[in-house]
Amino acid sequence: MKLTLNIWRQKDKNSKGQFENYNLNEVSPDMSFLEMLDVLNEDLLHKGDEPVAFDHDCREGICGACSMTINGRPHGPEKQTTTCQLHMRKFNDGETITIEPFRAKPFPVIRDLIVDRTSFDRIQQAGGFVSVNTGSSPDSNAVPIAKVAADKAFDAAACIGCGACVAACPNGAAMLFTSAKIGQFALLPQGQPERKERVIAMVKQMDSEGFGACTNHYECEAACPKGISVEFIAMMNRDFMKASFSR
Amino acid sequence: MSSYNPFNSTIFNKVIMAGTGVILVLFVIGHMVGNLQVFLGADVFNTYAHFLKSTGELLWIMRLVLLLCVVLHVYTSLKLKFLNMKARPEGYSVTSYVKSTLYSRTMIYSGIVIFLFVVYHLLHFTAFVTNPEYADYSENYGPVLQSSGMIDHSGNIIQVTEGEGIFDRHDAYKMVITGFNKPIVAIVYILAVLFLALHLSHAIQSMFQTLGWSGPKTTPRLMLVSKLIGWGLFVGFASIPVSVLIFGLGKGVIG
Repeated sequence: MKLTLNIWRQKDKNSKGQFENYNLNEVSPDMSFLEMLDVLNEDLLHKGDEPVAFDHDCREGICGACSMTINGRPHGPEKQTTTCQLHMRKFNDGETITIEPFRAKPFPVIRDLIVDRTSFDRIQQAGGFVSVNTGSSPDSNAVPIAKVAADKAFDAAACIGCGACVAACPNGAAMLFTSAKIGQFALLPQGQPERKERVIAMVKQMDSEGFGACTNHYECEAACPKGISVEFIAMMNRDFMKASFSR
Repeated sequence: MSSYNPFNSTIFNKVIMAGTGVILVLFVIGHMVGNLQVFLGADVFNTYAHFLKSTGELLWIMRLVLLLCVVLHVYTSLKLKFLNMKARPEGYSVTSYVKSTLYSRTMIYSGIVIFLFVVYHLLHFTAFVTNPEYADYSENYGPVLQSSGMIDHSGNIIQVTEGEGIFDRHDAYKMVITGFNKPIVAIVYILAVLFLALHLSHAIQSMFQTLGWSGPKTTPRLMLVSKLIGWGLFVGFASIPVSVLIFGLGKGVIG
């Protein structure tokens, strides 16, 4: 496959970035998107140019590191797939692919395609945990939890914190991430004692990071590599209002 | 935590948008049902208009509630729009949307158009500023029996006045027919309700989501309901200027 890549290059947080064009002539359709970028970087290194900086870690779709916007979609065109699990066979020979970093004020670009997502860590640290040590895992069925609740909590817990929801949202809102991190506890007995404090504290942190407000476009749900439902945003709204009025 | 006011949060602002939206949508549905009485003739329509005007304090309470809703809805939407613009200072060079629609992404613009239209609509058919002659349109109705009475503290009727006569009321029917006989006015009204339909096609489902009612089965249904109400209102409202302008509804009342 021959490809033209239009990639955002930016030296550091304070520099102004711009797009650069690169041509690749021997891309295998079986390569993953990141392997294709590795090939590009080897080419650049041989030529003595700076390689393109991008985030990656597990390369098996579970860590959420590989943040980039491919042709206007975070993680690219494939549904419920991270960039590392996207294969070049999904693109056409001769195609031009535009690769940009995730764009949001709370996700400043550090270099090229790498953004600083520590704002997510701070939201998580504001209350995305259970304060008491619950010890080793309890005997199965010792704490009765309805199957429906357990499944739903697990759906929320599938969030890998990649930030695609923010990147896809026309408003740069982080409500899908925050609601998933709240929702995974709100449905389980372990999450109940701190339920109100948690939702208030995490929404407060989300707002103070400078994320936008949800206007229900549902682009986040479409971009989420784990297919997390906007249902959790509605649940967070409900919990937040209840907690605000009962403080 | 003491310095944080949850009522300043993004979520509470969204709830204000949704809450005021619910009241405004209910009003608009009622307004359309009321307006459709124009097809039942001048007498029915003027009786309805006269009834609305005769509700006194209730009318003003209603108007104040609606005014408050409009002010809050517009103010909050602008506040959130600026917040959202700040959240992405540098945009994408390529955008590709999956679930959002053109009208969901242009709510602020359809909203501004609707707001400007409401101002014009009030100056036109309510305050008669654009057409002062509408205030003088009146018609006689009757004969009708009007009676009033007083009762004393033990419940006996002590004073009854009864009278049958011909009374005078504003001819709202003639006003509407005259108004929509001007093609430009009719077109402005039709375009305005088109924007209302686009706005509400996203808004109604959005209100439920914000207020916490959502689910894999519920949300697609609410989206359908949203579109049905939005376009139903368009057909209902637009049918009046279309009937007047194209099908000559009420031609008899204008000379």
